[in-house]
Amino acid sequence: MVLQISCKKNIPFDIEKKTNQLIVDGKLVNDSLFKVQLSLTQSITDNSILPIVDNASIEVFDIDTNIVAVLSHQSNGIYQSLLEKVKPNTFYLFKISFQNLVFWGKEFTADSLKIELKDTFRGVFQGKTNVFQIKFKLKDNSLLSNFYGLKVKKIHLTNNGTIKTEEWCEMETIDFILTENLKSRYSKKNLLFTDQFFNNQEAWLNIGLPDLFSNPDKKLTQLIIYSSSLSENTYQYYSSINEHVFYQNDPFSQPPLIYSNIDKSFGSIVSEFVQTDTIYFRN
Amino acid sequence: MRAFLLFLIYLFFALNSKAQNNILNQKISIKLKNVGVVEILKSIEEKTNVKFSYNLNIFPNKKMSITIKDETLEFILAKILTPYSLNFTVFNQENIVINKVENPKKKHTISGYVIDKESGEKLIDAAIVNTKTLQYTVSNKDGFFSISLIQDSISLEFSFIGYESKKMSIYLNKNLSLTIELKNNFELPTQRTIYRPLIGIVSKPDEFIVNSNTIKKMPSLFGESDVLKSLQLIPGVLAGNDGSISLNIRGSGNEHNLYLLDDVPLYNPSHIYGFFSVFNSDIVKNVKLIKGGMNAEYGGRLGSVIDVRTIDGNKNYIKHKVSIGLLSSKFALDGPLNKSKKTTFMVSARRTYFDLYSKTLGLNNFLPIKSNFFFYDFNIKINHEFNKNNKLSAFFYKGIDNSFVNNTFKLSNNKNEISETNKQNVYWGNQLVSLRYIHNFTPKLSGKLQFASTTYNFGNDNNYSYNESRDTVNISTFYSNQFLSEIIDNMANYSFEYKPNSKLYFKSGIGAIQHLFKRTINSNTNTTNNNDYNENRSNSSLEINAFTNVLFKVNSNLELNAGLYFSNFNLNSISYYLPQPRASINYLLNKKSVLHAAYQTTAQFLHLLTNSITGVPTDLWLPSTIKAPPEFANLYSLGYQVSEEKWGFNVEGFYKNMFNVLDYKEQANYLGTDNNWDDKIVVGTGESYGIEIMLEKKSKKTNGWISYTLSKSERTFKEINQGKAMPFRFDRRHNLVLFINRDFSRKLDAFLNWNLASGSRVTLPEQIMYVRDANNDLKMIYIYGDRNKYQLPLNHRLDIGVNYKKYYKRFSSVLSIGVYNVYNHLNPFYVTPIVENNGKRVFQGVSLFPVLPSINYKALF
Repeated sequence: MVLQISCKKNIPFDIEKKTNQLIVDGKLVNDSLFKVQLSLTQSITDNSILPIVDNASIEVFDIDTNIVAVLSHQSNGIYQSLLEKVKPNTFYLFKISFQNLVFWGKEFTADSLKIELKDTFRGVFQGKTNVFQIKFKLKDNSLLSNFYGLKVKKIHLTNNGTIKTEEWCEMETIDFILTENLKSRYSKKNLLFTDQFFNNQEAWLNIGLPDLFSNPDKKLTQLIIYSSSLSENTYQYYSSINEHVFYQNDPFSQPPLIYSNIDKSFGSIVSEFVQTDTIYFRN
Repeated sequence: MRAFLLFLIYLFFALNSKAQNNILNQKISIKLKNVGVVEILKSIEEKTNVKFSYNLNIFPNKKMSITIKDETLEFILAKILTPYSLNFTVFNQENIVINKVENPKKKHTISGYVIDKESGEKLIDAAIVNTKTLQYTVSNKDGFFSISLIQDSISLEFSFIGYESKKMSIYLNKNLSLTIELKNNFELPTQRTIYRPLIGIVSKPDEFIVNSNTIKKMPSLFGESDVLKSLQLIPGVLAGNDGSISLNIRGSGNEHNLYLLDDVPLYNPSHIYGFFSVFNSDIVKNVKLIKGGMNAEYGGRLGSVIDVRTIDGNKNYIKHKVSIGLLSSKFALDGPLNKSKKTTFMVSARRTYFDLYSKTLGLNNFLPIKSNFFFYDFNIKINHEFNKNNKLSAFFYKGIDNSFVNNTFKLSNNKNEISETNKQNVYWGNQLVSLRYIHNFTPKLSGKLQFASTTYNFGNDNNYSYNESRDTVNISTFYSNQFLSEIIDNMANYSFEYKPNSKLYFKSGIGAIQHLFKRTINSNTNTTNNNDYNENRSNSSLEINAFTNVLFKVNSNLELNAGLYFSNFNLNSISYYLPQPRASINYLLNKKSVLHAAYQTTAQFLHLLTNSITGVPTDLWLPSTIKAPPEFANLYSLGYQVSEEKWGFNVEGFYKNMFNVLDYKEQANYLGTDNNWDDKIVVGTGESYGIEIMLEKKSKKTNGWISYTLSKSERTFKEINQGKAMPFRFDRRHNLVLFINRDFSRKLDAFLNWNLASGSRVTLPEQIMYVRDANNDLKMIYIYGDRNKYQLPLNHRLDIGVNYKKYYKRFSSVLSIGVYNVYNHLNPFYVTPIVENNGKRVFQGVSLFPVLPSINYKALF
């Protein structure tokens, strides 16, 4: 009742203007070119377009500090290698020079896929009937920790078949260990977890996609399932983004800092090994 | 024969007491230097019609200087004659005989109780003064008093805040046991019920007493008078967020306050997310707030003491109180259990009913969340007096807050049935039980033995089930998850009070507390294998404490109070020993003004973790560890207080430093679990200082006060804000309170309360950035500035209310109508950054309490 009668008003604060800081947003995909986007932070009261960085230089080194690639600016703050491609299971060191400052970042790329899609079916899930479900198996039982990502994209056509829409599915799992875990609970649209939750043992996961067929105006044509093995940096980075976004809606909490593997700046350079499986639906 | 003569003397004094009062009450001023007693007496004779008779040999051959302005003759004579064991007696309204006190070393003790005339309820902190010598005492927490005086004619005055005083003149020649009845007077000025009376008594500016009369005249939210909200009008007490009952006193947080309910600590003093206190004002007898200079008997918390005492029960008849408000209703019943009146009881219960009428009226359909809420609490107390010297008391309190969602779906026909149930239940509350035995060994020595248990728990239950039953299909699934966190304190303590004479007062005690920390998690489902999770963890620690406190009245002007509270805390292999010295000095400058200086060290072994600025429902109390050692603080204060007939003034400065205070790490959140909690917090120091001023106006009809607090409170953590000091969240630099109460008639009174305070502190994002999440979607991320760097706008609010009383032979009623936040100023409860429709980013303040009218009806019979 109190919340119903609550009133809102804007409060002007004299927010301190601070120097904009570098944001590094890089994703390393195996057998693809090195690609990193650079931008700057901006004041919360500044409503102009996000400032991009087009006058930096980025060099990539291997574990023996041999230069692997020099990334050149393409457009919109994106820096890319000319020919050199990302290798799996490899250590890379990034040197980013910008405004007489040098920022260092490091990443060890994911090696192979350690999660396997085993089955898909429809059935009862958490009391709901006709729920599309996907069964996965974590197949690595070594003592080393592995990190995983799951996401599912649904592609619809409207009834007249002319407009195609894409949307990330909300996933549910009944596994307490995932739903209550502090790293994996903050986003239903990308499930992030580690086999530490399962004591590094082989395990089966059952993921449900509720309400997939509930909208009669949209005809489901495809489901694209993305199963990933992540580097630890990637897992930490994406988890912290999910948690930060989750707490942005909680007025009594302060969203946590975003994880970064770049010294003295924001953002991360991450890597993942992704496999996609597509399921087509006919009438 | 001797007894007969003494009786005649007593009769004579009693008959003359009224006449004495007239002649002795006249006020004069004297200023003499280097003179003897005789010269002073002659000077008095010149200024008045009084004639003194005396033998010159009884006076000492000593010179003195005296400066007295506008004081009663009784006060002046007591001041100049008492040091030389001289006594005075009035004859024929104008003659005063001065003689030497016979056998001055022979003393007798007067002990007993000061009680409410109507209910027989014992009064706490009632003042007992021998107005001839200005020797005094006050009744203790159990209403018992004891004072040793020299054999002589004495004039005793018994007084208590909100009650009509009573005077008695007797010739004291033996030990006396008295029960003095005082009459409650609702028309007495409200401010006198706030201040401890200064009738010749050393009073402390940092100690305030609120009794039930006061609370009834104070502003209320939703018509519910609240004990803790009343305390927010006192200087130095800073409120938390708008509408909340939290008390931030002298730089300490609400979690640092020691809330005592009949001598037993309560962990969470609030209902409804901190908007109402757990103390039912209908059964509260007395509330004492000690901001500083506390006696050594109090321990266990870093900050102030809020000592709430409930009524024992009416001794004369069964009294009913029924109150109906917009939000809740309550009843209280108290009275004697038997004809001998030796056993009394008190029962009270209170419950909100928004959940009931929202369900009945279907209001829930209009709410965005299909949830509901209620709280209830009840108190039971039984007292039995075996005789004047032996009393047994049992007390029980239980309060529960419950926030729940209950969604059920069912579809059925003759053959098929589908049902789905989703129940979520979040609950928290306190439970308290105590047994107390009080024994007066002699009029000078009394002891108290107490066994008690106090529990605070927070739980969260989720249950989901789905059942489908058709011809060939039979499905049944369930999922349940229970979380329960509890702290249970089992305690035993013994204390005794000893008053060997009117100058010394000892209080000592010893106690032990077993703290039990429990956590239970159960998660079960039948839908997947191997995912059931059950945890049942229990941890206990032992706290042993001992204290001794000595009050020494050096002379009629100077009072010294010193003590030591010693505590030892043991958890697993960790052990902490913390001696906490306390000391205070009161110097009575004259009959109306007092200087006060105090020092105290306090310590707290238990830490509170919460994620909510309102205090509940996710409070977790956790023990000290190596990473989070006990918190301790030193408080120094210096004050001056004057209380004239028509006005009063109180000023006090303080300085406090705190060590090992906790906060969350930079941008770490409370995570709903106590696993590795001490990795998520930082430990640092705090500093607070300020000045508190109160100016009050006293009159029979209109009274009130203006109070102002100027203070600064900071915290420093190595890991936060680059180790720089940061403001405490409720560092309200300025806090101004205006309170006026007007008694229009015996039936009608009204109040006005206006509060203006600096805004509390907030942490705001200063920059943003955009990054891509795991779905490659662009997300806006906030980059926060220093913690508590920004300040909310000025907080101000006007509340008004009227109480209309009707009296019948055995029935009375009070209709209370009030308006909270009359001019609808939107004081932000919290601030959040938002993006408006035009893409502009702004900070939006959300206020929970706009203008709110209230009505409450109370019947007493």
